[in-house]
Amino acid sequence: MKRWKLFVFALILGVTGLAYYFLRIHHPCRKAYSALTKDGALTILVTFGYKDSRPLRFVGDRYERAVFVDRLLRPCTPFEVVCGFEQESGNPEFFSKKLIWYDHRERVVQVQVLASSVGPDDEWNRSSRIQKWHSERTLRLFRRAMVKSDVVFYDGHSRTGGGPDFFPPLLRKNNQVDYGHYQKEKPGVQFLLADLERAKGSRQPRLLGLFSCDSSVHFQKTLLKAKPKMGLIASEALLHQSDAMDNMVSALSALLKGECSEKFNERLRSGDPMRGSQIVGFF
Amino acid sequence: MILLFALLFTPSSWSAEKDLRIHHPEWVILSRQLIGESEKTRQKALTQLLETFPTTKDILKEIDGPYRPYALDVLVALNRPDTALKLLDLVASDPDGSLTLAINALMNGTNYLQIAERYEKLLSESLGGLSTPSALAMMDYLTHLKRPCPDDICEKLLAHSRIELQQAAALHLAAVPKANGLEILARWLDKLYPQVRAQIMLVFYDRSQEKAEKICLADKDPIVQSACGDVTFVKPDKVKSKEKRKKKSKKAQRKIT
Repeated sequence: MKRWKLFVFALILGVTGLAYYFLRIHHPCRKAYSALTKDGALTILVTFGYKDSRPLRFVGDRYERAVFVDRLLRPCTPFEVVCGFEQESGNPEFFSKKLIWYDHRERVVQVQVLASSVGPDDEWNRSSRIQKWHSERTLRLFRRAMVKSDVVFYDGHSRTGGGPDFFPPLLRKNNQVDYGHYQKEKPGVQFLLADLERAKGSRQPRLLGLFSCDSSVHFQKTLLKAKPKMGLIASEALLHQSDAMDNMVSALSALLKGECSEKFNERLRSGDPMRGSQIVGFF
Repeated sequence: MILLFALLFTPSSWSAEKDLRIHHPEWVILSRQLIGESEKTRQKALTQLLETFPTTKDILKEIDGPYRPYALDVLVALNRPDTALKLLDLVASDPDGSLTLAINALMNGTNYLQIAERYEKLLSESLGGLSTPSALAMMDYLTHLKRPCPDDICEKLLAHSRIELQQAAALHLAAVPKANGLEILARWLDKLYPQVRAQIMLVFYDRSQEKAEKICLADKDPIVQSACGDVTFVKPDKVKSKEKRKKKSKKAQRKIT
């Protein structure tokens, strides 16, 4: 073989090696992502809280779950990652797919998707035995995920600091939500803190997303104090349900693409406090 | 090549959505005020919406654009009854179900039958072409009207691979009086997801404890068993003996007095 051919061959080999090294080893936020999962599978829980629209009777989280699942199941277009999932046989709450991740290794991504309500009418739900069982089950699975899942996303009501909530809301006599109770008792924060205490020694959850109104104000400080190594996605304003959903899909997309802080926040529209969310503490 | 790179690295801030946001900020601002907690703010937003979008046509123009969810919320908030029928023409193609939900919300006494019949036709003839959220909203509407679903629709939904539709059909059969409702549920029970079977057990529990207990004894799935753990079955003979005891004690009381 001529000398120049050998030189070209060595050059290609060298460039490929360097590219491989930089892509794999020198991913700019490798540390954050390598801490996210250790065992090759990425487990994510997406829970839709009980989305009543009191003083109206309509409850919407079942529809939102259906929209989100449609999104997971649809075929992928180029550069799209929140797509192409398959429903696991026998359990319609689990969706999975294989993915080449930031480190160019294949990972299995498993997403469990839950809703809280059983029907669209809060009046019917709150007197139903099925609703009670369903809400309790969703709460139980959410709390289990707080200790066992790599990522936990909640899309629901903040209940002015009393959320997350998976049950029909407590009402006053005028059918308005009893915000006083939620502000005073903070039932959601109480169980989140208890779960973070339980998970103190464990890696999970590495990332908690609260796609709910004013979640920065209501939850950020308390939760990050309880588990400083955890990342948190929260929003600064009242969120329209479609924006909460968009931000959640964007967060999942950024995660599956292994994006770093700046790009992640750009995807979450962090510069637009009226519609966006922000990730803190993860990178 | 340069063009390809230019396309790949075009900043998202150059997108059409950003331009629209600049030109139509009132959708976002006013819709946000509609979900605010104060009634005064809500009313103020509504008045401003009426000024900004005086005709239904103005709003309908927006429902295929990036502000679709806001536009549909505004339509419902303005509560113009003529809109439901206009939306009905578009309902066969409703990828996120929000249009169907808007119709349900706008439904009024004069056109509910027309809407129900159209929904039944779509569910029966083109379920495969409907999005899951849209089909779910249609089924929920039939349940809301307490209009028993025709057998073929109920069974198609129970046979569906999506749990939302199985659950909607099961709850419909539980909530709406239908002569063979429980019979259909019992026939499909084995083919449904455990989450739905658990809910059906709870439906049966309120109607016939005997049937519910049969499910609990036969179905060993942990999800079903967790629902079974939430209820207590009272044996019919125990109930009888309790009643006998009560009668006896009453007789004894009478003798004493």
